Amino acid sequence: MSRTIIVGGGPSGMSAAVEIARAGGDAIIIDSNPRLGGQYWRHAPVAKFSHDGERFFALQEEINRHPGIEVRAGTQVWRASYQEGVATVWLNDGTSLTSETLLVATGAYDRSLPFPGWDLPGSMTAGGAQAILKASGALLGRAVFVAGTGPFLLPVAASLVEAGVKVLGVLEANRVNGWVNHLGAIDLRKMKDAARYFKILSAAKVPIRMGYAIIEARGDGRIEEVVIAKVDRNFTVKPGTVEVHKCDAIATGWGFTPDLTIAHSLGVSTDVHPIDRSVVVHVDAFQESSQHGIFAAGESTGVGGVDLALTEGRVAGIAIAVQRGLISTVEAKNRSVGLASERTKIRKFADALLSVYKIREGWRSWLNPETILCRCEEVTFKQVRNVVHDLGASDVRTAKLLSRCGMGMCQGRVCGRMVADVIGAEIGTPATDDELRGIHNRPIANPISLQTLADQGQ
Amino acid sequence: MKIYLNGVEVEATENESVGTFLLKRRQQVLRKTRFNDQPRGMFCGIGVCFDCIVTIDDIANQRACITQLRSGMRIEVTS
Ligand SMILES: Cc1cc2nc3c(=O)[nH]c(=O)nc-3n(C[C@H](O)[C@H](O)[C@H](O)COP(=O)(O)OP(=O)(O)OC[C@H]3O[C@@H](n4cnc5c(N)ncnc54)[C@H](O)[C@@H]3O)c2cc1C
Ligand code: FES
Repeated sequence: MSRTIIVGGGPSGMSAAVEIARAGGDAIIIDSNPRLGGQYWRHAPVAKFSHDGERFFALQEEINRHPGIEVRAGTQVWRASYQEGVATVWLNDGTSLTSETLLVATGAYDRSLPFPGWDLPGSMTAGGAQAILKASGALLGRAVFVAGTGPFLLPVAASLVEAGVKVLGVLEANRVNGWVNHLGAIDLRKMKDAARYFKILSAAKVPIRMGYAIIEARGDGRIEEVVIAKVDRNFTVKPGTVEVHKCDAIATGWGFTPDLTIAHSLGVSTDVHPIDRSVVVHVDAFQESSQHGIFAAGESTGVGGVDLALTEGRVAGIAIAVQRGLISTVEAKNRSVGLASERTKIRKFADALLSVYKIREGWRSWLNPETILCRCEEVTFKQVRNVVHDLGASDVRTAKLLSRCGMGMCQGRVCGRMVADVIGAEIGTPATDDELRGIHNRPIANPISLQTLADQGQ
Repeated sequence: MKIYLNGVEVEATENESVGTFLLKRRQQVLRKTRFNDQPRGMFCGIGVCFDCIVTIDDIANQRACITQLRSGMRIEVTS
């Protein structure tokens, strides 16, 4: 049997590798980042964390200590397939690997909503702003707004403040008193983290404004000012509340989208999440997907943050060890004590967050006819409306084909979901579950050189 | 180490992506779009959006945010 393939070296991939190693197994972790850690523990070559670094160092140390675990960083999986119980991944270094067991630990990326000017230089995703800061201390701007929805806006704003950026405001589009309905699910650790961020933000006198959104960014070739406004519970702009502020950059984030590109190529079944309708890998209690030997953990099975990713990774690693005959089911039970209940608890908390920080339909009222929806192909809101109302496109796929939305280099990663929602609204019927699944269908996960393509055939 | 930015030799440090290196030099704009000639810079920061594409060592469409700087690299940006 060849060693287990782990695609993704973030918290979930790392914790799975450690469990496999503890059971005496072998695995290879592939990650396009130059270093282990994923999005949460993204770091400079010499790792330094403002908090929660201990867990990273412990995992890294254990991975490095085990000769059975190889880390191939700085390498992308550009294609994957699954046939007769064997998974194959093709890497951009020109090699390929096969195995009977593979873990999808590919994480998530920022979910974005469009608004006039969101394509201007100086406009970044919240995660992107955080990522460049963590990886190399780069700052997106000097005077910035952080906006969107979700608890993630707070750590982003806090890290920017600590790095010396003037944060002019944190705009949370939802009203967080929605919390009252979910008190039972509140996670105390998370509350402690939030308290820490609030402390940093209030010491720097950063205004945190609930029920506010950036509805436009303007500038000559880069962001020079933003238009912000109060929005109602449905995210529609409240008349008479518009303000204009000078700034040189903005970070916006609307939660995360699980990255299903590799999972989809492996042919696993997916679920459409009941709360936010995101597409996630369907897994059983052992984190195994519908395909025998293909496991998934972390954000690819539903957005839940670092603690859920770590727990799911451990469950998957132990289950892989059982499937490969390294440990007995009795031994697996001993190693899994508390994991299942921990996972249930965090998932419940994650679902509560998803309900509170939901994206409400009124965001479409921020668009004007010239607003770019598909950044790659430069398709505007007006053009999408035209293919529905003038060309008669009556389903998401046709409207995308005719408008070229989602057909550019990012293959719909950025606009896929939001364009499906716009088209659904124009047609008058929301995108179906299968239309949402179709967004993640990308036979080539990452562009590769013609040479690599020629070398690896097909 | 040295790299070449639009043909001009500049001093650079290792362990930095092309995107963050340029941002630190206040080069927010990395390219102009194909159809409307609009400026674009880094957006997602993690290799997802392809807004940051630049030409590196004569190969077009390389993502600046996930390409690590190497000595002697030739980077072409449009701004
Ligand atoms: C930009 C960004 C910044 C974030 N910052 C924070 C933060 O500061 N704090 C916080 O609490 N949470 C943050 N998050 C949330 C984050 O999703 C979770 O905290 C956590 O990192 C999830 O762990 P994971 O193991 O599921 O996936 P990730 O940590 O996302 O790891 C997945 C890994 O898979 C790799 N990968 C994916 N596809 C491929 C492929 N085809 N080939 C090779 N490698 C691949 C990626 O490079 C990545 O390293 C951030 C998310 C994003 C998108
Ligand atoms: S900034 Fe999105 S791919 Fe580089």
